[in-house]
Amino acid sequence: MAESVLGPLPERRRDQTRDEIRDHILSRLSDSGGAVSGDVLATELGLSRVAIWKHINKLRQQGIEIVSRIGVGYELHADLMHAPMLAKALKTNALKANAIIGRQVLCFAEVDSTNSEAMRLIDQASDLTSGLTRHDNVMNGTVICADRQTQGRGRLGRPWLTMQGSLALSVILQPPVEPARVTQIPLLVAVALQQALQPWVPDIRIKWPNDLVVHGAKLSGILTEMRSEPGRVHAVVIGIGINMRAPENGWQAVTDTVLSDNSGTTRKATDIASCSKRPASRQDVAVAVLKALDIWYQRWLSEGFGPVKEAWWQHHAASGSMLRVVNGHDVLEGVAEALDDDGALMLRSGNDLVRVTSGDVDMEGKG
Amino acid sequence: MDISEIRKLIKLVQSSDLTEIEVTEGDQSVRISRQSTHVTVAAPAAPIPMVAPVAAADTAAPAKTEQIEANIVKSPMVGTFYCASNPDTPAFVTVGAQVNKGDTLCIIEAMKLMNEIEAEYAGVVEKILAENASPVEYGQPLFVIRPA
Repeated sequence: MAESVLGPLPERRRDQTRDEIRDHILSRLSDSGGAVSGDVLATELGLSRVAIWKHINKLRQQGIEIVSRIGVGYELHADLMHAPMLAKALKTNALKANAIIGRQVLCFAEVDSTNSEAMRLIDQASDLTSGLTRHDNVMNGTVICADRQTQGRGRLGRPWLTMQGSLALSVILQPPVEPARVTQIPLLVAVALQQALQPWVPDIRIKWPNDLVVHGAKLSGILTEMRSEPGRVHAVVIGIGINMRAPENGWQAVTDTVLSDNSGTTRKATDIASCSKRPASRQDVAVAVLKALDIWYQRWLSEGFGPVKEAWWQHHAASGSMLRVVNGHDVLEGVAEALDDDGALMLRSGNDLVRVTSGDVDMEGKG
Repeated sequence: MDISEIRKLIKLVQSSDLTEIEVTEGDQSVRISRQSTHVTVAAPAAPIPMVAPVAAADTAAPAKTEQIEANIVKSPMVGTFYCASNPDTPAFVTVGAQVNKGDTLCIIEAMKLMNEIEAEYAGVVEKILAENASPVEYGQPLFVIRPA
């Protein structure tokens, strides 16, 4: 595939930068699905085998695991999160030319949290400008992903455990809407994720407002953060964490030790590999998620909340059934009757119809 | 009329001595006004009639009310008020604290969207009007900040 596009290069082009050489090596290793010999890479790039070996070692120093197989060549150890490859995949097989999400793709070998990194980038961008042009859409659509996340966050400082090989990414959006409308975005993201992940996980459902669950176990978590001033959104950062495979000793041991938040909600976790018959690479999942997110985001901008609301209710795990909302010390039980226009859950409790805007939903046995 | 056009109008007002402008386009109209307390008018006595906000005209003690109104940070949405980013960290601000423009004052959460409310100007926190983890309404006063 890559050969037909790029073709073997007879000799090294003088203008070839180190990054271009390394991107070429990574694309070839990724596309081949197996090992690629040093000879082939050397011919394609017009370099010596020793030069190729040096580039491979530099890539290893950047944290990319490349295995040398004697007599066969170089092979990627695991699926890779690499900005140029992800950007290329988004351009070629996923997004339309007018896509907003993925205009800029940044991948890091390791960050504390992709949301924190996104916030720092927004601060840097705003330092470069000033006054009313602050945050003027320069970051809109930027995707930040990380191979490893050391301090993944949930809401209110709850830890989000990013296992080896988990997918962690953040998307920066700068929608031209009133800040109050942004409460619809977490629900929009849930709808996009549900659609993107369904080919791998057919039984995937939404738990209010934006968790993705499979038979009550959490597959994915979303943390949406906003900076705004009255009447104007500076930036919205959507953090998405998706469990790709189970830890060695299973999820139970991990959730028991890490998630001691006393929220009283279901703390079961699951992952794509455990739910799916199809193999899933992080890049494939990331591309599917970003593509769906772009489609739903653009639809929301042009058509409003209606289509999101309808899709959300359809895939919600507890539409029309009983659930419990734990909010601090308050516990509320009722039947999920509708979704309000700002994304609030309408709960029928006796004669009252209560609007739920915060709290943890518990639907033990549902979903 | 989209946001960028409105922004242009705001710039126009800011770069002039105007305190208020109203533009009508088709069936849409937008009015941009600024509080006179923030404007240093070096210019003549009354080139433009001083248009007082309608609400202020109704209140008994307009001058005083306006002053306080200008210093109040209100909730931009319905949600839950948090004074810290998580239960184990200190509050973003306390009474008496000096804040700079852009400093985070609190978080309002709704539908799991964490909305960082930033100070719009530098000043000193005089009062905190909402309790941690309590529900707040749209437009509910959260802080009183005395401009520096």
